This record gives sequence, structure tokens and C-alpha cells, in this order.
Amino acid sequence: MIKARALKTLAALMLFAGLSIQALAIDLETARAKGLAGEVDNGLLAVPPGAATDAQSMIGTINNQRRAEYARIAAQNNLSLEVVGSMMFEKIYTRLPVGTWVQVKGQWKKKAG
Amino acid sequence: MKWVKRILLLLLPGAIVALLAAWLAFPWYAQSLIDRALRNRPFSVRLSGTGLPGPGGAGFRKLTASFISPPDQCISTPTTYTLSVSGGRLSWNTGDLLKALFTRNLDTVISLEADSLSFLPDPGGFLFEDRNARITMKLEIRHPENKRREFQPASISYAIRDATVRREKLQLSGLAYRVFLAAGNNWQQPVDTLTIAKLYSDGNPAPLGNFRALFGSKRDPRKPCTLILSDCSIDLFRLNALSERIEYDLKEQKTAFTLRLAEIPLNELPWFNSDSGRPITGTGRISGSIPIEFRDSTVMVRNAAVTGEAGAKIVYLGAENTPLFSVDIGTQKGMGEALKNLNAEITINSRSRNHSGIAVRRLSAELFGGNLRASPFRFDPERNETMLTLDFEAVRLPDRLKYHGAGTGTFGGTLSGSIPLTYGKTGLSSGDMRIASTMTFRNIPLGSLPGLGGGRGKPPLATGTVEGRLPLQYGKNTLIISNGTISGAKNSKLIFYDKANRPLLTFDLGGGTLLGNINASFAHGKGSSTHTALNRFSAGAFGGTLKIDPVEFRSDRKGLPVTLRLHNINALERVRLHGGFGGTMKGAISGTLPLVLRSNAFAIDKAVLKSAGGGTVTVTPQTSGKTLAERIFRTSEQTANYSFSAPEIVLSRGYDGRTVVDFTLRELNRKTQGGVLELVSPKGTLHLWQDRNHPDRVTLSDFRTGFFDGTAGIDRVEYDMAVNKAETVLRLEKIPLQKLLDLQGTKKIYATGTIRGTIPVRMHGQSFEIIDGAMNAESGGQIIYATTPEERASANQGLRTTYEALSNFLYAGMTSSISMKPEGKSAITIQLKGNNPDFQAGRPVELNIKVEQNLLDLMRSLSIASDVEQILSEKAEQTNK
Repeated sequence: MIKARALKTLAALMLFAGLSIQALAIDLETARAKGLAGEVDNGLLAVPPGAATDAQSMIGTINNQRRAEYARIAAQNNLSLEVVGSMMFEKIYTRLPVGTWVQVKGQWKKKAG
Repeated sequence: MKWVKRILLLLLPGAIVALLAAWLAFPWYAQSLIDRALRNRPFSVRLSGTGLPGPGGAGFRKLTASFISPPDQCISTPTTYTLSVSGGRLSWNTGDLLKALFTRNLDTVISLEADSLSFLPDPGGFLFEDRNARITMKLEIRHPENKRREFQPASISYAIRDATVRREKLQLSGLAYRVFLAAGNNWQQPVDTLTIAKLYSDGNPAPLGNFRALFGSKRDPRKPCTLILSDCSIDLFRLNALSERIEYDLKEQKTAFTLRLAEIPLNELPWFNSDSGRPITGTGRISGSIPIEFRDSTVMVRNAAVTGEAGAKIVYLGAENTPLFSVDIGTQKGMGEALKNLNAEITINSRSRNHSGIAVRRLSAELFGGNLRASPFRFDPERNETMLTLDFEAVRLPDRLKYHGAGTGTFGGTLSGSIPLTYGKTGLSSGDMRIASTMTFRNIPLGSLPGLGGGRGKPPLATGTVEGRLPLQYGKNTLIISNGTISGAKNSKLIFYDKANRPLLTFDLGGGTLLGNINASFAHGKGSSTHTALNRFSAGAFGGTLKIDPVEFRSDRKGLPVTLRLHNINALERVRLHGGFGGTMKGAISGTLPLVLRSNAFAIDKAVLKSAGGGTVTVTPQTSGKTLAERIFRTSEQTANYSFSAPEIVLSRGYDGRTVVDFTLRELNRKTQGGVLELVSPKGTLHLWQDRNHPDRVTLSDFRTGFFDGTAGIDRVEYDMAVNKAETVLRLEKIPLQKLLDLQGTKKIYATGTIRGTIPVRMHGQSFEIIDGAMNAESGGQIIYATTPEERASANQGLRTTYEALSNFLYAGMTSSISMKPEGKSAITIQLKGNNPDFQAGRPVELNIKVEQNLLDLMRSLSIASDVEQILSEKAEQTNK
């Protein structure tokens, strides 16, 4: 029951994320494409290993936004931030282009085709 | 008459002159007087250096008298006895002699004093000598009418006090005997005590002495050729031996008798006398018999035996004169006598250059069930020493060895080998002995070993027993142990106690091999200073190895440095915790343990011990002594599990007990029902027993640990265990804020960023106090207080505003202060500066939060059903900039 509710909220979040990230979308997509940012399995962004830190500021800003949203969803559904972030990563992952840096269980790798 | 008087007066001077002349001429005619008196007698007297006689006596330089005894039924050849007296002085009673001129019968005394007197029978070969001899003769002077005066000796007495008898290489000294020959006794010597203090061979004291016997010249008519000594006693190797009667056959020149060692109390022997100051004593009695035959200068000992009565033992004493080891020398079933079948052939007055005066030609015996045999004895005339080698085989001495203490341990095994012995002026000394033995021991109580016995009201530091097997070889001053083993009996353990003498920690020594494959080499050197050295020691220990660096035991050292090297010794799994503690540990220990040992203290110089293992220690609060209500309603005391891994310590200890321990762990976790407190790589320095007057004070310094992904540290804290009191400052760095929030257990507040804190704490007993602690953000971060729409809807305006501001609060600075009273009541103030980009166009916001709660309750439960409305006492305050 809680999970169903969370999924509904996640759908809304996806819409929100799509809107809120709109302004930064190009930058984030560019950064991910250039390997300057990668997705972590906690639902947040991070700088991949060996990459320049050009996108560090953008990553911090987006993570703050994501964290705030995840927290809100977590509160509404009585879930932890980590669970929400993890669920979010699963959704984000499906949309990521092949070759994007992802970190799963502490290990960085590029998304396979 | 007048003419007569005149003539007499004229003759008187002449008589006086004649007497004077006779007086003065005495030295010249004394010898002729003697010769005339002894004419046709079987002895002669030569006198020289005769002095002028005084009124009471006359002196002479030397007198030699000889007497030839014809052959008789006992002695087939004539014997010449020669008496020599030097520096002699004859004394008489002048008054008696004058009286003799006028009386017919007179008894008087003539005595002879001499600087030296010697007596030499030939054949016989011995020389009797006495210095300061005094011989007294009672003389009867009879003057029958119309006959010449007769001089008849009535008696001669001669008290020999300290004479010597020599015969080539032998010498009897301290000879004493009272000679008394009297006419009334038919000139027979009455029975008197003959004593001889000491026998010397080649000038060296022999192990024989204090001979005593009753002797008289009267012989048994049935054995006219037998000299009889009765009630004989002699000290043989300090053992007093007795023989009722020794009969010496003059004709056959032989004797046979048995010396008996009759129930000699061991503690009366000089070696085992408690007054000797040696840590050795003896109990019980020994007895023995030594059958002896003597003929042709040869002594044969046949099947001599020495036995101890049941329970007779030689005891080696430990501390406070309590028995430590004992050797049972009593007759035992299956073991027989201590010494039996002793056979020896001894030549008295050996003339061989290769033998001493008393030459032992062969010797064999059974000793403690084994065989003892002496090699041919060799005499070195240059060094005046006798050398021999004692070979022994399968001597079951260890079987008779017992260990005493709280219990009684036993030993077993045999000794085989050889001991070269030298006997000379300095007595008996041993050379390079060789001994081989496989010694076993069992039931040796650990609690009776030095240092483990407890005492003075303290329980023993170890219980149980050990047993083992040590193959030993000794030779060339080196003792070698090859492949020995020592095992602990079941339930053997080392025990460490708390202050109330309750077991706190035990180390299991039972159920298997403690030390296996023991290989060691000890050397005993005799150089400028006698010393013993451990050349090597290695042993298997609990799956690993234990080695000891070579070390020299020297008495001139202030301390003995001994360095132990441990490699993969599985010791942790043998640690057991007691009382309120439990748990298990596992892992091998490696490292070095440099010890410096003194007789009553030890020091450790930077021992390094580490293990890749670890374990779990469970601390269960003790419920005893509390009231039922306290036990039912207690909330604060929870069972805590501490787990640690990879401990490493560097330990130093002074002789006075001051101990410093540098410790490092890979991790230390405290787990309770409320949660887990993880310390990563904690390390620090413990100072123990630094103040003799305050042994309960423990100081922790330079403590640092990883804590919540940051670090926590204490520069120094002194904890007094006697009063449970301490005061220090806890320093926190790089602690993620989220980790502290997680402690709260709430799922509504999330934060990024780290904090640095300085928290002064004071502990006293069970109470814990924080005084003006401060925790500040080290950099900016994000705080999110997530609320549900329902919460926001139900909140008042001010709180709703706060909710909105905190829904995505990006703080630039955060400061906080914290105080906590001993009972747990705490006050935390937090000041946040920042903004929420989604709130009021991201205008700057400053938040002041004050939390008042019982922090102890929070810490005890490590969770709080927090209600933001309860902890946010001040509403958000918006400030427009």
C-alpha cells in the first residue's frame, strides 16, 4: 500500500524533476555525456573517478533539489530517504544513455547497451 | 779426735772436688754407664748431647733405643723396634734420690719430656711420631741388705694426644691413646680408647676420619695372634659407620668385618642439616652395611648397601623453607634400595706411581635401580690428584623425584651418562659430565609455581596441573632439550581477578599441548665469572611458535634481559571472561616481548604484540545488590556487545609497575539494543599504575578514533577507578551532520555537511555531565526537514513557515552549544544561517533552535520518538536582508 502510494508520488516527482531539471537539463545531460557527472544508486549525482570537477557546482545544486524532493516523498510515504533515492535511481537509470557513468554498490561503471 | 777432724776437714774439699769432677764428667761417662747397665740385654740405648745434670734432672739432645723382638708364633720374622727421642729431659725427685741413700725401699717417679719422640718397627714400615711427648715411669728402688740397689720399674704411662703415623704415602694424624703398662698388670696394656682424627693419602685428606675403637694388648687365648678392636666407629664420607669388633690376624695379616650405618637421621648429616644455611634438608633415616675384607694391603668391599627407611627423603626447600622438590631414598617396592651391590677393591699404601696411597682399583654398584661403574683410577703424581670416570646407566633417580606445593607432582625417567671426577687437595671436583635422560613429569600444580601462588589473602593466579616430557642431554657444559612437550591438564588456567578477588579473566591452559617441540640449549661457562647462557629456545605454542633470544645469565647484571618472540600463537581463543563479562575471541598473536627480569621484579621494554583476529566482549550489567524496583524499572542498563579486531599494542613496564600501553585497533564497536557505536581505528596511550599512592588511576592520552566517518579524540583523561571520576574534553572533527541526526532515529530530518566539536565532559560515578560544549559546521550544507501535507496543514502559521524554510535549507553557517546536567537534562541551542531557494525567492534566513530534552534517555535508547513541535521551541524567524 505504501509502495503503491510512493510509486504514484514518484510519477509526480518524475514530472517535477523533468520540469525542474529543464533549466539545467542541457547542462546535466552534457555533463553526463562528457563523463563529468554520473548517477549514483542512491538517487544522487557524483563526479565519476578521474573526471574534471567542472560540473561539481551543478551536481551540488541538483543533488540539493533531489534530496529535498526525496525527503518530501519519504515523509509522505513514511519511507527513508535512502529507499526513495534508490527507487529514484532505478527510474533514472532506465532513461540514461548507454555509456553514462553509474555507480552501483560503490563501483563505478559505464552503462552497458 | 782433733786430728781426725783435721783430716776430715782436709779430705772434705777433696771429696767435694771429686763429686764436682764426677758431676762435670757425667756427659762423658753417661753412655758407658748405660752400656754397662744394658750389657747382655736385648736392646741398646745410644745417648748423645747429654747436658750437666741439675738437681732435679738432666737433659740430652738425642736418645736412640732399639729393641729386637724375636719371631714368635704370630710373627715369623724378628722385628726391630727403634725409639728416638730428641730434645729430651729426664726429671726426678732429688729428695727421693737422697732418701734412697738412707732407706732400703723407696718409690719414686722419673719422667721424660721430649721435643719429639718417634717409634719405628722394622719390618712394619710405619713411623710413629709424637711431639711434646711426656712419659712417666714409677720406679721402685730396693736396697736389700748386703746387696746392690735394685731399680725396678713399677709402671710406665704415656698419654699420646696428637701423634702421627706415617707409612710412605699414607698418614694417620691426630692419634690419641693412653699407654699404661704396669708390673702389677703383667705389663699388659689395658683396654683404652684409640682415636685417629684423620687419614691422609699423598697429603690429601681421605674421606675417612674420626676413627674410635677400644684396644688393649691382652689377647684372646683362643686367638693368640689376633689383635682385637672393639666398639669401632669411623666417619666414612661423613657417614658414621660402626663395627662391634674388628679382629686383625697378625699371622695372616688379614681381617674381615662389616661396617654398619645404623639408622642415621638424614638431618644430622652435614649436607642436610637445617643449620647449614643450604636450602636442602633431609628427613627420615638411612642405614647400611659395608662388608669389608682386608688382606695384603688390599681392601675388598663386597655387596655393600645403603638403604633409606620408608619415607626417608632429601628435600630441596623453596620460599619460606617449604618443600619444593624431594628425592625419596626410602626402599620402594620394585625399586629396592637406594644403593646396593657396591663392590670395590682398594689398595692401601699403593706403591705404584700410577696410584695414590689409597688406590681404588675398581668400583661398581647399583644406584636407584641403575648401574654405576667407575673406570680405572689414575693418579697424577705431578698434580697429586686422582682421576676417575663414573659411568652410570638407567639410574631411576627421576622416578624418586617429587614436586611439592598445593598438590604433589611426580617425575619419571632414567639418567645415563658419565662424570669424570678428580680428587685432590681441594677435595672432590667433577669434570665435563655427560648425562642423557628423558624426564617426564606430571601433576605439577601450576598454583605452586613461583609467582603464581597468590598468597597474602590473594587466591592463586593459576589452577590445574601440567605434565610433560623433556628429552635432556648434558655435555660439554651444555644442556640440550630436544623435542620436549608440556601439556596442561583439563581445567588448568591462569586467572586474573578484580579488586574483590573475583575472577575477571581466565586463560585456558588445559586440554592439550601448551608447548610442543621444545628445543633449547643452555650453556654453563666457567671463565672469569661463572655464568649460564640460554643459547636457543624455540617451541610450538597454540599453533604458532615461541622463541627466546639468546641470553646470558650473569650475576653481575642488574637485570636479566629476556626477549620472547611470538609468531601466530592462537592465544585469544583461550581467553575467557567472567562476572559481568562474556564473549569469545579468536586470532593469532605475533610480536616481541622484551623482558628484563630481576629477582623480585620485572620490566618490559617496548613489547610489540599484534593480532589479525579479534572478538566480542559482552558486558552484562550486574543485577545483584539492586532493589527489585530498580531491576524491574531499569531503563539505563543494557547489555552491550563490544567487538574489536586487529588489536596491536606497544607495552612498556617499569620495575615499579608503571605501565604504558600504546594501543591500536582496526575497529571497536559497541552494540546495544539501541544501536551500534562504531569506532574506526581507535588508538591511544594508556598509562597504568603511574602513582604508587593511587594505583586506581588510569590515564588515557592521545586518543584518536574514526567516528561517524569523522574523527573523535581525547588529548588526555585521567580516570580514577577508586572513585569513578574523570574530566576531559572530547574533540570531534569532520562528523557528518546526518550521522548525528541518524542517532535521533527520526526519518524526517536530513542534512549534509560536517561539524567540528569541543565537548568538555565530567564523569562521576554513574553520572555524566557536559559543560558548555560547542559543535559548529565546518562548511555549508543542506538541511531538509521533510513534512507531510497533513503536518503542514495542521501546523500553525509560524511552524508552517519554519517547515517551508527547512524543506530545503541551504545553510552557510551553523553553530551550536550543548550542555547536559548529570541527571541527563540537556540544552542544545542551534543557530542556522542560510536560505531555501524554494522559499520566498531564496531570501536569507536565520534560524535559532533550542532543544531541551533528557539526553541520557536519548543516548540510552539511541532513539527518540521525536516530535518536532516538542524540540523546536522557537519558531522560525525570517529576516529580510
